[in-house]
Amino acid sequence: MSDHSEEHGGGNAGVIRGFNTIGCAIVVVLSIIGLFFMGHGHQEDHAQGASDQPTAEVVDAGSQATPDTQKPSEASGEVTTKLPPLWQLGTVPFVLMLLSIAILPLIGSTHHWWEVNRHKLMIALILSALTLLYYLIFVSPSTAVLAIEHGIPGEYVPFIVLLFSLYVISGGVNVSGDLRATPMTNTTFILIGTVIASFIGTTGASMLLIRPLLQTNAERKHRVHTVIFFIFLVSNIGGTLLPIGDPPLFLGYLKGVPFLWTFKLFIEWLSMSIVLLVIYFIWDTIAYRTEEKKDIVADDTIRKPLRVTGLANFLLLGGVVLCVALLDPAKPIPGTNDLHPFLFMRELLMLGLAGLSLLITRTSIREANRFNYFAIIEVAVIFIGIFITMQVPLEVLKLKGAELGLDQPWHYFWATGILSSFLDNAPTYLVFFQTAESLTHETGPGILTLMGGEFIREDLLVAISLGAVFMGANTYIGNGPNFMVKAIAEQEGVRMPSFFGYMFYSGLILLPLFVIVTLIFID
Amino acid sequence: MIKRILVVLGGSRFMDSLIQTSLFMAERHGATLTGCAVVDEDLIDPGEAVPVGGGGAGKEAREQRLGIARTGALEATHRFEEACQAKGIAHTTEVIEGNSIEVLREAWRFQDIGLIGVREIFNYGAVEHDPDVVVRLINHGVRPLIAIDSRGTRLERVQIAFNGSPESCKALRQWAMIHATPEVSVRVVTCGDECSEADLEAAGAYVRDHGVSKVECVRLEGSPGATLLAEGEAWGADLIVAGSTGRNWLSRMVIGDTARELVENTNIALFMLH
Repeated sequence: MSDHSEEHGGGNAGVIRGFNTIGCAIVVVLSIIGLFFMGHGHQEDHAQGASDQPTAEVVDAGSQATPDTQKPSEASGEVTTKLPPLWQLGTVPFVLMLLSIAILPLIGSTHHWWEVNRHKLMIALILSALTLLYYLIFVSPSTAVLAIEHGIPGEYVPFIVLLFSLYVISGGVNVSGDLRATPMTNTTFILIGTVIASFIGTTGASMLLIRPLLQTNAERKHRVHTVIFFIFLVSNIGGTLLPIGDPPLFLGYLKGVPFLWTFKLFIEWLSMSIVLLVIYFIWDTIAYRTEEKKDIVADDTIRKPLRVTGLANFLLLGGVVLCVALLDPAKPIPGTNDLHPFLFMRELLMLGLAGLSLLITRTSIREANRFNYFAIIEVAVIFIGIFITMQVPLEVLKLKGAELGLDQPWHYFWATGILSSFLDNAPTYLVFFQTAESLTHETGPGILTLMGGEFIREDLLVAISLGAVFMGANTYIGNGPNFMVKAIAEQEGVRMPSFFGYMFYSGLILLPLFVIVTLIFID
Repeated sequence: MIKRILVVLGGSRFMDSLIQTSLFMAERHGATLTGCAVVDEDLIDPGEAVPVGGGGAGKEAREQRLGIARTGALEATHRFEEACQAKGIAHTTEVIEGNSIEVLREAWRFQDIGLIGVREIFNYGAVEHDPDVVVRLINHGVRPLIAIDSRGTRLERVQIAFNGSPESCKALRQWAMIHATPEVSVRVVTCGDECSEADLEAAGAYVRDHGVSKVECVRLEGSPGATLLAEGEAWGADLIVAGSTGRNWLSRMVIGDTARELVENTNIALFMLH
């Protein structure tokens, strides 16, 4: 990571060209990493590795004895895993990782320090090293290697390559224009964003549409509610329908949830979207009537037709969707009998599409989008830490999750949702996914079979998915694009509410709807 | 007698009335003005919770806010300088980057009084106003100060809030010593039975002894903060004089509830002493 990559928000073509060069370099590096890992396994390993946790020793099933007393029990024929010794100690790095993300930006003496991606990487690597040290000392060296293999090639690389590809390609599309800022126009903007968010990701959809929406509303005084509903729908709820829509859903896909399974959430997505769009339309209609006449006249006068540039990138985004949908290394390529994509073929193709986007997209388009790599590098460095440090907690949840007493869908909806409101929703999703997995040990009606012969109840998966995606809208920090949209709106002169002010809106509008969702769809 | 006035250039909608009032006071007392603008990074750029991936956007927004604040601080000093030059008032100006409380405590040491916008201080339009800033200034010993509202004022109709406490007596004395002039009309106001009739009359007499002829003493009913503001509005007060009402060691550490209510809600200039 060069210092140059820390710059952002530049406005000249030279900077963008520099970014593109860096982007190409990142593509090459990620490709090399992918190729490197290709030599370390085959698809069966990968499929297995994606679901198995690092520690896998044979012990008495259901044993609650201390690690020292646990012995292999081949005679019984029951195979299970045991809790790693001093597992409480092993979960500390994960807790510290989450606390670092939550607290360091708040402390006066650390918030500037934390802004630098290099420092985030340092924290992530230190905490990852502590996790590996824990495995080395208390479990075994091979478990430490397994933890890396599970965390990095198994989950991190596919995860970050998808996000990177979507980020780069959607950053190559620019929508500009200044339409009449009527309630119908604004509602249509948000509706389009809600629909495309599942296909290009909530971040991509948000970045694509927030600037033209703000430009359209530049002459209006009442704009805050528009940005807030945009965050609700485009930055969060819109991303429900595909694993590409929101990072936690992609993690579910990596764990073996079928690509199109998320379409089962269509009714929930549709209901929330319609209700929120209707509320927004009424709200904006009232707000529009209270605008001053001179502002409405100015809005009518200042017009610029809507223009979409970088359209070829939509084809590339379609390519990413196809890569994710068709190239699962654990399954044969659709239309073939037993032809599996080679390991990281999907990721290499997605990187190729991102590289192509960098090559074919005019510099001026990325310049207009203020495109830079800061955000994706930030995600990349932090998630190294998250994916390594969460190995121990996931392992513990796999074994002890059933003891948490979470067995009803509404438990999962609200627990996942509340935590997703304040923590990153990707690790939160994985934590509750693992907990739900621990409840089910055989297939049956309403049970989804995952990779590695694991199972999960579909009603719980619905609850977890909806909780992680929907309730990310509860706060500015519930999902990355929420904060990006807020920051862009403030740069455009919108006085956005404070952290708690925003929560007042979400508490007023979203929480009652989540209660209704619970009553109708979850329970 | 006032010889040095610190003018806190907060860059808000109160700036024009603040400058007008400072010029009026400088002319009346023959005082020198020191205009001080502060870019307080902690105020403009407080730490905030940021989601993963939002750090870049947050940093960009903060840099923009700081840029707005720096530009606003420069504009504020230019406006102040132009106004002083037009009136021929001796003045100095400075733009300082740092903690506003520390900077003002430092700048206040050799000043007789400070003038400050009652709300929206040092945000220069970059962020929402933190209503506690003026209160914190008072708590940290930056006093006496006159917190100016959005109306330019000659400070000729003065309502003194008095409850018989040492703090209110001190505020009254301080105001009388530095600002009492024959052309001022004064109303000494108490709420409920906070002080005896004799104390109220004694307060009025003290003001008269400092050369103010138009003095009346009034006893009102109701909660002090709201009543003082409502009565001040009704009487057409230019200035409300108030001291903190803390009666024990803990409440003396912080500004009293009444004073806080005045700061947060007033549309009238406040003379504050804690």
